[in-house]
Amino acid sequence: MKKIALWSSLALAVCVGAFIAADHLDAPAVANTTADIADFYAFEGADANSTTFVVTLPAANASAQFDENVLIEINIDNTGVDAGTTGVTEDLVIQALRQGDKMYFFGPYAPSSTGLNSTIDTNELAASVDIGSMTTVGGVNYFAGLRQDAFFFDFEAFNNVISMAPATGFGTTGNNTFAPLNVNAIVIEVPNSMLGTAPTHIVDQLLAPNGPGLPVAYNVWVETKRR
Amino acid sequence: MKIFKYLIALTAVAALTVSCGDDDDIVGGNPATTDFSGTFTQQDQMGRPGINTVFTPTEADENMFNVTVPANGIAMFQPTFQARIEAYYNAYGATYENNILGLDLPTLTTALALDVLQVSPDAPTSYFSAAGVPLTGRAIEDDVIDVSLILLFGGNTGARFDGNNGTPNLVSDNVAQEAGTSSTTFPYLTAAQF
Repeated sequence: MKKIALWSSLALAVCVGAFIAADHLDAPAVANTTADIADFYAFEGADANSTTFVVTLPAANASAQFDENVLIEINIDNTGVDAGTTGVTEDLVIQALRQGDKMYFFGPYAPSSTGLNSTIDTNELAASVDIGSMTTVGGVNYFAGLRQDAFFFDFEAFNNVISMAPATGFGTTGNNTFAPLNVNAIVIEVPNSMLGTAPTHIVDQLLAPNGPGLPVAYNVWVETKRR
Repeated sequence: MKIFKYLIALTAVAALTVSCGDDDDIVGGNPATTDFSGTFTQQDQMGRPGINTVFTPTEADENMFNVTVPANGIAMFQPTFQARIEAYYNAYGATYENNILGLDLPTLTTALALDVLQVSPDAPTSYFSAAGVPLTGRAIEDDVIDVSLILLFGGNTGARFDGNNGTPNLVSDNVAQEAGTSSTTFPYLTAAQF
């Protein structure tokens, strides 16, 4: 009984926010706001010499727009673990802010300050793109607009599993909670030459000298910031 | 494969200029009222999928996680994450065993608490797969949920709680990506459907 009670209390804490769209229905301070990140992807796309970043935010209907006061900031660490610490700090940022019918992109550039507060250096404006369209400027591909949510996860089954635990687990077939959903997405495909030299993979850094020898890799994350 | 044994972790070009002043035709008749001024303050952040919502136990922790810079992630959240996973196992009367990557719980949760995504410029992307080099990014097609479940509940074979031998299935939600939601060409996501 004690275990069940413990699990139930965990479930209460988890079930509302767990896992959804990787980051959907986030912490209460940001959930259901225009700053709530749904998902973040970073991968090698069609151009092997570029890296593609995808950031999505929930879009409940066809009228959902990017907030003109919410900066989307992709952070890139290309120097690895900070000396004397176990963490990393951004060396470059790519910033996106909608104004009117366009999304404006800045960078990649080294920000004047790091951390929780950001400003936009307008000298670093790289491109703008009409919402719903794509463009290529200086070898960088840009898109901003509504897209299908490609995330896939049986969120209801997950909730059932954790709320009833010890439970029978997931079934043999699942139901994708996100199949009918849409997002507002920005997609940026950037030549690697603009991102600097990638550092030793962070796993190898943290496990040195016993790391597995993974490929060099940038450390990346996305933030939303409101003014 | 040795590589799996050690792995941590699930783990410009100024072609345009914007006038903020009196130019009322910034390309295509867009309104001139662009405003890039001010200080923007952090609201949300994300590196790898699902970290905050799964591993932080309280709403206060979730809020804090979103405004903790990656430089402080491990120091702030590793103990919390470890306790969370231990609590999950307690519900099944079991204890964590090193996962398919050979990671013990402190090492796994150290990796999870530094919530940044690694993406390699020199290798095809794989969040984790037997075929590709893992931890080289996150592609749209990657089944990050199953990977996460396997790393958490799969034990050293990846199949510890797989629904067989009297165990519940905790290692796959048995959902595949919806057909037609991504493509191989930019912008890689397909048109919205309302």
